[in-house]
Amino acid sequence: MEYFLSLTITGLVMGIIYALMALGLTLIFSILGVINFAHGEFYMLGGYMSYFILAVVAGLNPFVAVAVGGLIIALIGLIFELGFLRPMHLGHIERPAEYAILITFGLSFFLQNLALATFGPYPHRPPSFFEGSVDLGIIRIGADRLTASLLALALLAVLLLIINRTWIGKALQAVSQNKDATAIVGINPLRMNTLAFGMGVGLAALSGALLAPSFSITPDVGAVPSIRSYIIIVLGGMGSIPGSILGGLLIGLVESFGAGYFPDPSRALNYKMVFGLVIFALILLFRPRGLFGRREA
Amino acid sequence: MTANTEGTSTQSTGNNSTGRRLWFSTQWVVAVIVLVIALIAPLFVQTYWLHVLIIAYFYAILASSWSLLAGYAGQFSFAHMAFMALGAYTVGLLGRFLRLSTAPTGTCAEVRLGNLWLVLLNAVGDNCLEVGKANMPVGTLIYHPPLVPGIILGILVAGLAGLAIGALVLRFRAAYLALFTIAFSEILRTLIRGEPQITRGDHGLRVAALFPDTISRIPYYYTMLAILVASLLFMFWLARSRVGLFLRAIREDEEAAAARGVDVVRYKVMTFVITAMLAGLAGVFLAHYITILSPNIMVLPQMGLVIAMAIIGGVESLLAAAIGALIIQVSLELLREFEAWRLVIFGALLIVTLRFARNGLLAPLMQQLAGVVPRPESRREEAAAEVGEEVRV
Amino acid sequence: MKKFWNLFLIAAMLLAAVPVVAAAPPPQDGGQDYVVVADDWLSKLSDKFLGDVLAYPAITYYTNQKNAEDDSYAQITDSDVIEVGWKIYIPSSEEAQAYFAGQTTTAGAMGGETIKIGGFGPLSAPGSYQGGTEMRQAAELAVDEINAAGGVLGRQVELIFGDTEGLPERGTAVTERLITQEGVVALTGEYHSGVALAELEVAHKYGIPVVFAEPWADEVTGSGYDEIFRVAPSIEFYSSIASNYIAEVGWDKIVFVTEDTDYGRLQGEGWVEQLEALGITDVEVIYADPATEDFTPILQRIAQDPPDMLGGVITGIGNSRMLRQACELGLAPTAQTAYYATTDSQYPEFWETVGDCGQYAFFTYVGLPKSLWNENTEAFMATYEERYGQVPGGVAMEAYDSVYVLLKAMEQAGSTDAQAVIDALEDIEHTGVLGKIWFEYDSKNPVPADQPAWMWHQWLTPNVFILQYTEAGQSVDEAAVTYPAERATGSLYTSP
Repeated sequence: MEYFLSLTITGLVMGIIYALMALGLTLIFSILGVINFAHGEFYMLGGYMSYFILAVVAGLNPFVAVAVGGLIIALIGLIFELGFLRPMHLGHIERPAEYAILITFGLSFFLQNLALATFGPYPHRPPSFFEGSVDLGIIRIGADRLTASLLALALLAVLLLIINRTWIGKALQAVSQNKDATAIVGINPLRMNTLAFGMGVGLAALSGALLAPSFSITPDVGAVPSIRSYIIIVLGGMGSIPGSILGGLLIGLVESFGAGYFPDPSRALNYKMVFGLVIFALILLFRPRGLFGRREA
Repeated sequence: MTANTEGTSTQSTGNNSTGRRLWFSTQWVVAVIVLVIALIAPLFVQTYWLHVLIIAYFYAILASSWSLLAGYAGQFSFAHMAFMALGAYTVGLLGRFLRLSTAPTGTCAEVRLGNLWLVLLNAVGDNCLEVGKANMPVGTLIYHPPLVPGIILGILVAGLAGLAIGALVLRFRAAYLALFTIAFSEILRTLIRGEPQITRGDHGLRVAALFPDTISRIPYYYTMLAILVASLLFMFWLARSRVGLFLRAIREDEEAAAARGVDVVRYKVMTFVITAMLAGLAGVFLAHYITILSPNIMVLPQMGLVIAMAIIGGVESLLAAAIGALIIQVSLELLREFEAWRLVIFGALLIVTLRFARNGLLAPLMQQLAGVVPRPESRREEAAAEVGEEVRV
Repeated sequence: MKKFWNLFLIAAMLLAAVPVVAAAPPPQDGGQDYVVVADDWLSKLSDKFLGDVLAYPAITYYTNQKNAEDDSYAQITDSDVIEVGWKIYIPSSEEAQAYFAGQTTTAGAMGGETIKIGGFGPLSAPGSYQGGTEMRQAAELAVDEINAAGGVLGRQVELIFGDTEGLPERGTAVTERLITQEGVVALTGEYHSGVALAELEVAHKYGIPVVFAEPWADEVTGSGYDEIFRVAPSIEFYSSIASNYIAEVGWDKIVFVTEDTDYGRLQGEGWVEQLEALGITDVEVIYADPATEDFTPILQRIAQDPPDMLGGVITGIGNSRMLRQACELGLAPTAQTAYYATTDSQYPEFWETVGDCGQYAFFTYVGLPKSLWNENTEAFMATYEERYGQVPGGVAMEAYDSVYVLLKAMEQAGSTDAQAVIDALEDIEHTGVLGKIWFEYDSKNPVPADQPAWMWHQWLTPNVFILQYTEAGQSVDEAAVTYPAERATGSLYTSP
């Protein structure tokens, strides 16, 4: 029983952070209708940004570095959206659905190699938030990881608050439900798009920055979180915010229990990835709207 | 009923038919020039560059077949390298586990074929062949089966996978298609890596060379070139035939095409199967050329490279995609000293091309030479009208 | 606007075409005589006729060949000095290629100025670029030192290092390129076993000698090929040090989490066998993708029934990650469970990532700990650190000694001819930074039937030790050498 609980905690701790990143992806999909194939690379950039801020400004509070890093990456996302995604919504692009896939995939290719060329292949690690680990009785958790998880939880709460209680949040919700109607009431959907993209990649960047002290960063560190995020939003329902949160927690638990209980321990870790992908493929085939998504129009 | 002349557009809705004829002729001219250069290249190019070109032809087959699937049929699949890998690993595994013997082993699974036995080795445990050798008559010959059946099987396996995937993704919108094919590719790669007892995983699976008696690359060079040319000719023919016409119609407006009587399901799946088989073909010959396979041949960045080649060349023109692949592969090699920055440049080029030059960089260049400028808005009507003519009974 | 774009695209394409055209040298139908005129340089002529400015040694070589038969041809003693009016012979591109491929049987090719040797190793992902870069740096240092001392056979040596990226297919391509295009007469280096196995086939095909510096797979020397020599330990040997150590300390229950690469699997399987032979049967091996970020769930599973020793056999960043996570969980290194890490623990970044968790971790080290340095080692350590600003690891030492062994053999052979070099390597004795190196079993003294095949052309006493960090932040030199007992500087195992 204790083992089960300890695995549950491990799964949830990571799951919250997965949810934060997936929320960013689902937000982008919900508002822009685009799957951001470069989501993992923004995660990676967030980690590098926080590392470099701390390297350049010695003695800075690591939490400030995370926040600033996230903000800078969000701004970069904003600029990309303006230059390369907005034309899609202005009708300048033929076959926008395919364009969106290719351009974000191309961005992913570009950013990964840019990071490799700029930062080199060696791993980097920003200083810890807190050293050591925390004893919770059934399990000990690394202090950095727990901090990241708690902060992610706080960010999720703040985000939910923004989306449900503020004007901006409601405007975003409106755009996700019905673009034309929103435009009629005077909200500029194009601006909402840009904002949503910036927020979405900002969330990915924050996840990356939060986890950097725990796992270190390399240029390809975003590849696995990227695929995991796709799995989560498909599981939870593309465009559904509660779906991405629940999906994140679920995937965290699946990874934890998968490795913890798979009968053949020698293969358990490897097949963790395959499980996720197979679930993913099955959902796409049999219940594409996932847990909470809307039916396809 | 309007008699359907194979290939060329019959009547046209506007004045574009002359333009299209010119465009096709230009493509032929360019193709012939490039082909001639390719044919005589071994005379003045060093051995290492022959290798670069062989790999370039390999990528050209993949880029052009991907552009058939994506540009013509509108299916932006990320499973292309997976089909290629299926072809490659099929021949690799056959070579690893199959033998022909003049006498039965008694220890391995085997089936009699005339005077010979086809023996299947086991992946786990003691090598059943070695165990069986003790009891086999002296002078028994045990050898690898001929390569040709393996090649055919490799292509078929890839085609079957294409059939399965193509059928599954029929109803999928672009984003879901992309995600699903990525998942398929990664699952396959993880499986290959995860079962090294069968596939040798990262250690590398050895494959017989196509021309074992020579150290020269020249036979491989002409073989790969011949395959590239044959694939392109086949795809050209396909694109100019009714099938190509229907595909274009489906791409432009699936519902309208269906309303006109085009069997959307059939043609979409058919394209998947055909392009998967072409990818498998490329994979089969890659395997017999580099003679060592690892799961790295199908990592996502490789798929990204093929896509980049097709797009920069011109995703709606098979020839432009193929030549794009050649130019990019050669450039990557020439820019070797820039190491990681090479790919940064191509990534940037890809993004910029997508944004500002949807038809690629090469295709418009070739069209410039022909004095033709395609009118995107009319394509839809044109395609629909052509289909209408074709299908009307 | 559109027109402008189109023009720009055309220009871009044309510009791209220029290097393509430039890469292909002009057609060449046969060798020819040529009379030198003013302002001619051999390199310019080689560029003009052979399309490669670096192909001039072929001109020198063939001209001197002609000169040996016919006085009307000049004799070129210094490729930088040719005189107006000299009659020289410009070989055809086939002849030039043949020269560089070493196909000419004339021993001691006297024409070329520099002796080219090839190096290969991972300089980029997915290979272990850290090890590969270290190898390249050490090899370059060795070559520069040898050149400064007069070179080999009176000629300067040039090292051309190719990036294999850790992929077998790249290894094949790089080796082919080095041999056929660059014309190297010998090869050295390589870090990854799987890549080495691909490379040695190419070297064997062309008959080019190779001194492998770091790959451990038994089949490297187990191939039995004449051309292949190795300075690094075989996996069997390497693993046996750890296995014997484990038996010595007296641990009964062992769990390895190892990477699911060829290296990891060979290691894992090897240990299971060796430990069983030593009477330790409770050994479990778990495979993991080396790129895994989070090992925690599997570590929790292991923690259910904690072993006496947990081995984290993941190279690269995984090494530090796993140790850190095991430590955070309170699993290892603890009084109950010891932690065995990989050789990547020797690098300074190890402490940056694991913090205090690295204390009490131990690992197998291939190289020479400070207590055992000879004067060569000291000199090397100092020079390397001064030049590169890093402390060299065992891999660097191996690469350095490999180059010395190779070039010393060439000097002793009196020629760069492949067979002569191979014969010389079989007889070589060199005291390098790692100690005295020689190859026990060779064509004159074959491997006995009761010994494993990998002993062929293998240095049989490589330096493999168990090192343990007894305090946090220690460098490799400060760490305690705990095994083998004869060389130990500290106690067998220091428990937390």
